[in-house]
Amino acid sequence: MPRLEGIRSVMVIGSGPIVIGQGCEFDYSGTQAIRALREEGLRVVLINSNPATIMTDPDMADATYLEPLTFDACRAIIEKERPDVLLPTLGGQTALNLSMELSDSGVLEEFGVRLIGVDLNAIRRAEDRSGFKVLCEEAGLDTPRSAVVHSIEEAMHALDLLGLPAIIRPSFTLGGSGSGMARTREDFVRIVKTGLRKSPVHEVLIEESIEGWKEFELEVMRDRDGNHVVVCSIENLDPMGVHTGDSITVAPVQTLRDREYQLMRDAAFSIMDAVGIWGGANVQFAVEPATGRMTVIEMNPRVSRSSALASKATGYPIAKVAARLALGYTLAELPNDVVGTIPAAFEPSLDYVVVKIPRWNFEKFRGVEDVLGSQMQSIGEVMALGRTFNEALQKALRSLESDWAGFDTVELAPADLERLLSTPSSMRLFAVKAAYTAGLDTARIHELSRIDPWFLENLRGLVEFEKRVRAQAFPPTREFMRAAKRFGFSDRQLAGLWGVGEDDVTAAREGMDIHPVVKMVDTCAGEFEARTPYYYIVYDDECDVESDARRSRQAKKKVVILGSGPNRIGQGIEFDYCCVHAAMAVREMGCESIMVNCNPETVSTDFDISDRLYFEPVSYEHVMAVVRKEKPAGVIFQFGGQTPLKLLHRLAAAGVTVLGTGVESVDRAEDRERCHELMNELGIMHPPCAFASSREAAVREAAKIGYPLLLRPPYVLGGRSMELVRSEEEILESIDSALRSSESRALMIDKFIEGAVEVDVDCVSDGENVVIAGVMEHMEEAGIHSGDSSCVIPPLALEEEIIAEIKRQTVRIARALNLVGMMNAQFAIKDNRIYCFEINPRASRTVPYVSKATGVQWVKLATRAIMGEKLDMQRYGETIMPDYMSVKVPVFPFEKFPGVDSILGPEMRSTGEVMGIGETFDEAFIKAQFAAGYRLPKGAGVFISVANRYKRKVIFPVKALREMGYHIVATPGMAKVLRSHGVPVRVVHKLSEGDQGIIDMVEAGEVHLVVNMAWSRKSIEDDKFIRLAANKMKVQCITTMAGFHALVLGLQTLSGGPLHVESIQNYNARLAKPAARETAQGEVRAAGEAA
Amino acid sequence: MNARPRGKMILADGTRYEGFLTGAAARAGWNGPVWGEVVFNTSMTGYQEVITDPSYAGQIVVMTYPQIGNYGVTVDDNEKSATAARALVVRDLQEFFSPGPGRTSLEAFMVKQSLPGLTDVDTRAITRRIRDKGAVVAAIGGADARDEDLLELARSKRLDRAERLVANVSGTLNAVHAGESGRAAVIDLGVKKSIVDNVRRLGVTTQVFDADFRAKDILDGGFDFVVVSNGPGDPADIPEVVEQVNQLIGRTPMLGICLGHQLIACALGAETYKLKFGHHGANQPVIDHRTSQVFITSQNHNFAVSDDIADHAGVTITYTNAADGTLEGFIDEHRKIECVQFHPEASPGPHDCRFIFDRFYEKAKEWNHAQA
Ligand SMILES: Nc1ncnc2c1ncn2[C@@H]1O[C@H](COP(=O)(O)OP(=O)(O)O)[C@@H](O)[C@H]1O
Ligand SMILES: Nc1ncnc2c1ncn2[C@@H]1O[C@H](COP(=O)(O)OP(=O)(O)O)[C@@H](O)[C@H]1O
Ligand SMILES: [Mg+2]
Ligand SMILES: [Mg+2]
Repeated sequence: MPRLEGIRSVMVIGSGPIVIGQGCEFDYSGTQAIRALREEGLRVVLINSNPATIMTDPDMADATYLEPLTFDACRAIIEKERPDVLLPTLGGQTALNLSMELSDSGVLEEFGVRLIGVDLNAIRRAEDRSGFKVLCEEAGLDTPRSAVVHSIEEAMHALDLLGLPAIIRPSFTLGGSGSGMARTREDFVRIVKTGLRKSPVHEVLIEESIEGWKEFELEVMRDRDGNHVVVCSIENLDPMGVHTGDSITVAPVQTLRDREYQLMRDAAFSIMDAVGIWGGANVQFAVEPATGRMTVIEMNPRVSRSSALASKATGYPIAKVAARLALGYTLAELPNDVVGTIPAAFEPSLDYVVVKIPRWNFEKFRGVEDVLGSQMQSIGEVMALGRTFNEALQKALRSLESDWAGFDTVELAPADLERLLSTPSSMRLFAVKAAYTAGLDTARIHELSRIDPWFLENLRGLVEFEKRVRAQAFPPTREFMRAAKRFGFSDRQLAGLWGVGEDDVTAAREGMDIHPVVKMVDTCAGEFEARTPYYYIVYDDECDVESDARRSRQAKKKVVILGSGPNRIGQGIEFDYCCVHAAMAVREMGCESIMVNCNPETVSTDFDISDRLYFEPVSYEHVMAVVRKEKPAGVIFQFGGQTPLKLLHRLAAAGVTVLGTGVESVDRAEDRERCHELMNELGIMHPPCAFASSREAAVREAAKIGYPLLLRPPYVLGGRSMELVRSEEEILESIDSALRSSESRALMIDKFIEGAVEVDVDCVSDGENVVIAGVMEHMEEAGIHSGDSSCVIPPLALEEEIIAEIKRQTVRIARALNLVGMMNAQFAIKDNRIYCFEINPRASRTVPYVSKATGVQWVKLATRAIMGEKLDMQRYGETIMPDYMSVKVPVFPFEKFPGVDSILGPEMRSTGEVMGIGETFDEAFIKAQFAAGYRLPKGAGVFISVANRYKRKVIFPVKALREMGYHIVATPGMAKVLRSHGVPVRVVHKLSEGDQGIIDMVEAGEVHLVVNMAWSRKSIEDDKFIRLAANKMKVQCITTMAGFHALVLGLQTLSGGPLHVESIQNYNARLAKPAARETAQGEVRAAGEAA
Repeated sequence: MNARPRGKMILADGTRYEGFLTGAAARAGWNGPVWGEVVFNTSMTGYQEVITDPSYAGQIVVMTYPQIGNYGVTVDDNEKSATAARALVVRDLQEFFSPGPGRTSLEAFMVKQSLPGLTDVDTRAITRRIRDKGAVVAAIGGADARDEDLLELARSKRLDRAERLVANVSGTLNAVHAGESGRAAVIDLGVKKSIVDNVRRLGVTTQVFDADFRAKDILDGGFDFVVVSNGPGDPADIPEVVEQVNQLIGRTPMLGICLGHQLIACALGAETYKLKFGHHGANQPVIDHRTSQVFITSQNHNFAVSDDIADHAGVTITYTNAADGTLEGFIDEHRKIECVQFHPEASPGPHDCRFIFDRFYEKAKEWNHAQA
């Protein structure tokens, strides 16, 4: 069946910034699908506001619009580009909801755009909880008893029918957003209200609770003729009640008889037929353990988090096939990429077990309880492949970057044990271990946790074996060591249990001729010879790679690239972007790129990005196994963020060739003490600082340097547990916990440069020449972590001389470090004095944003330098200062953590970012704000409550807001000041003055913007309840002067007419012409003047 | 570590795989070693249906999915009361299973059925060896068995001829199952219970005939249609069964499944040949050339019918394998025959093709009506 006729161009809507519940899996699937669409010869028009994705690279789609994912922007792009069709299934819930808006409003019809991949009634039938129930009943399928309600009154009536506990599930949301399990009437009312508010169609499903049932997911493909296949079956270790995205999951299904599994498969297909999908979908089921009764939970009619996991678990590229099915191809017509000889109409057969474990960041959100439920809270996830469940589980635990070597012992108070088993949390697996160790049996642990006894018995197997390891003298017999490794125990774990060094265990193991072997992910369990080198490492007998005779011994130079592990705060998709570009560059240089990573959601673990993919933890033992097997020319550490950098010393000591900046230089930059010595040698100013490893020393040094100060532990990323200390009283409050978390290494006490402008600089060096990639001026003052602050390229308000000096200092530092590759330097500028406070000898998280803003793929350039090429100074010598403005704005997960204060500080907490581009700063900034989900309707109410030191500074912007027709609400003190400047204000009291004023207004929806700036720790605490109320009602909360000014200026530009949209290809093309040039030495030269 | 005794499997070409004995082989007094033709099965569920499928008689079954026994065994999943396979080779036999209605331990079932097993073996290594070099005979023994003896056993044994294999597995199913309307005859060459169940599902009275059936008895029985079942061994080994089938051709609507498909093809004069390592799994893609639809099918065969069957007048090729193009089905409207190489009854495997029974019964009524 040939493709649908008349399709020459296709518009794809991306998923925007990485948020909880809609993560980087949509970059992976979107990128894969766009490549497929272009291979079909189509012109691809993409809208996606996320700069950190491979998808928004200028060479990925034909026209890439880094514009806000709003109705207006989409409409403007459709009007401009006139695509033939719109593909809505690649951008998660955001793209789906937007596509429906575009269709319902008649915009698609108006511009003759057809919808492909799934029709709208299908989306409604699948996403609309009541429509879906009818569909299931018509297909003769069982669903939990429930009622669909649109108001709290209807909900109370439903409660009488269904009783408690009951789960509330909103329609058209994702990641369980707005859903929750109600155990009391109060819970019920609260959750129903949130659910109704969060559902775009103001509808929720009240459903009987089937908590504790087994939960399953099937990833299914269907084509236009109704041919369908199950790509992957997934069983959740955490039973019903914990969202699939927050559950430990295993593929394939483990505990269903074939008869039960086939009935589930039939049910999934009848739903797919009823909804009418052309492409991929995820169908969720629950099974009652005692009776085997199966019910349908929900269906997601699009690629999703679990389809990314399914693609990586099986090697079947779901998004690529789904894109072609949407164009009208059938499964039989499409090839199976991994095994060329068989079609995509094929169900992968696995000869391994896959385990996925979510990655949370509860420690970043004080006040949030580590309790899992029907609403997703995890930031990322890891996946691991093993020949048994235990081997895969221990590898996955090792991949989490939580310092676990495997199924470790975590000290838990015996009194809490039963609660920790019955209340799902991120630590429940370790509670199971503690329970077994304390003598509880499988039956009791199952009774409390509802985890299937098959999983529990496997965990008990690990606990029992660990006891035998402790009882076993070192070195053990060969058979014992072999069994330990096949159980998934790492050398480091065994070393800990035997009280010897990791290297001793490794030496003993290798002495016994026990080595890891490489197995291939080939979709067919070895039945056909596969072409695509996608590998994992296990302890078994035969190695697929060596005996893989077909691999010719070409003399290509091999380079290993270490990935960034699971997505987490401070270590996000930006580093995956860098690893992918590094792999591409290595390939373009005719070498063989070998990727090592364990994140199933990202492009770096797409098997056709590098020549070889090892889906393995980025940890010492596993990287060494890859290095021993592949014998690469060298390993690149610079693009995976902190994860690979932590391994640098040990791997270099073990003889691995480090490509790019050497170990010595990296340490000089990473070790804060040595870094300050370096800066002193170079005559570069850094904030006065001192080191203290005791309370007394800390207080003494603090007094010497003078408050305010920054208290910081060594060697850490994402500003973890770094604290602003304003007075001796505050340092005494914080010093003890800071000393505890620094594990005996000295704490650093930094002079906090107050009110300074923060500047980020990324540069590339080939060992001789240094090129400045980008100079970014941060909007927020230094003190708000760079990852949580908006920033702009080119710098907005810095004098030329300051920028030139910053560039000169960066070049001097790079040269002093014999830098080869990338480096990021961070500066604080106050009263024209430049302080350098951090050097990162690696690619930073700003690199993708800088690449999009300047139109240069800096990572590829850096990789070529790392591989020994000299930089083309003619072309890159001059720093690019675009004549358009690119603003990056962070996106925060506070909506998912209602009880958490959204005040910003030196500890990073954003999960993603968006980018706005415009002719002026104001246009770019307001676009970025809209992209970040910000809405301020006409005539909205704005509440102002700021500390006295800011009261004068807010007068002008508040006046501007009033003139634009917004209503100003303020506390009495602020109101007085504003009125004295002729600004009409409605006075409202803060809670501390008795009545409920401001909270009621926020909850009543009369306030759409809260401007709240406090200074002292006490006043920050006092105003917290306002920010929490704003956060709960999804009301924007501005807590810094810079942010408030920029917002007001942006709003002023908006009132001047419709949104201007422009593709990044066009913006970047403007840089090819000789715009205003600046040489590395900082002189400004007008265009066209002799160099 | 395994409390089980050590064991090993040696192929006729000398390749050696170490592991631990399990099932009947782990019990004292096991009358090992055992030999058989090695086949690998890629199904991820359905190990119980596989080891009780009579078509595996004489074969050592290697499961590619590593952990086997996760959900125990349940009586009504048996395809036959007794296991037929010679031995079960796995990477990790599970001692504990996830509890559920009617479930008991796989290992206990293997002991009761005196089915020997070998676990902790690199099953992927075996699979790739067979994929590259083709089917092979092997012998499994304990640590006490000498490698040379096992090698000699593997090399000396000729594959059992089909008539002996079929005789061992045919005829143990209850003879007649009452139905509301219509009568069907099922020729049991090692028939799977699920084939009989799917015929009975059509509402017909179903009579099962043993492998040494006489065509005359069937023709005199006034049956609406005949099903020639699956079974073990090489179709070329049982000419006498082909002869009886030949006498039925054209005189009663006939559905051939797997071995039945091959025997009917032989009766029509077509050739059969041995595949390099056969199709044994639940994810084999099959294309229906009449509708270009693709079905995921369950398969278990080492032999196939050659394409030249299309040269016979009246025969139309209906299905071929989407992976290797081998013949998967044909129909002869004139001789009132429909044959499929794959298993529409599945068990184990996808239910995509169960409609074939219903469609064939409708066709049989048409043919019989036209006949009358
Ligand atoms: N009736 C129910 N009883 C208990 N838990 C449920 C029920 N329905 C859903 N859940 C839990 O809530 C989670 C999220 O529900 P789901 O409909 O999948 O939301 P989403 O569309 O965000 O994935 C599910 O993974 C499941 O664990
Ligand atoms: N001496 C200082 N004065 C003012 N702000 C600082 C100072 N040092 C760090 N900061 C702020 O804290 C944030 C995090 O500190 P940094 O050293 O960059 O740690 P990280 O390793 O998390 O990047 C910076 O982005 C900056 O905003
Ligand atoms: Mg779900
Ligand atoms: Mg920093």
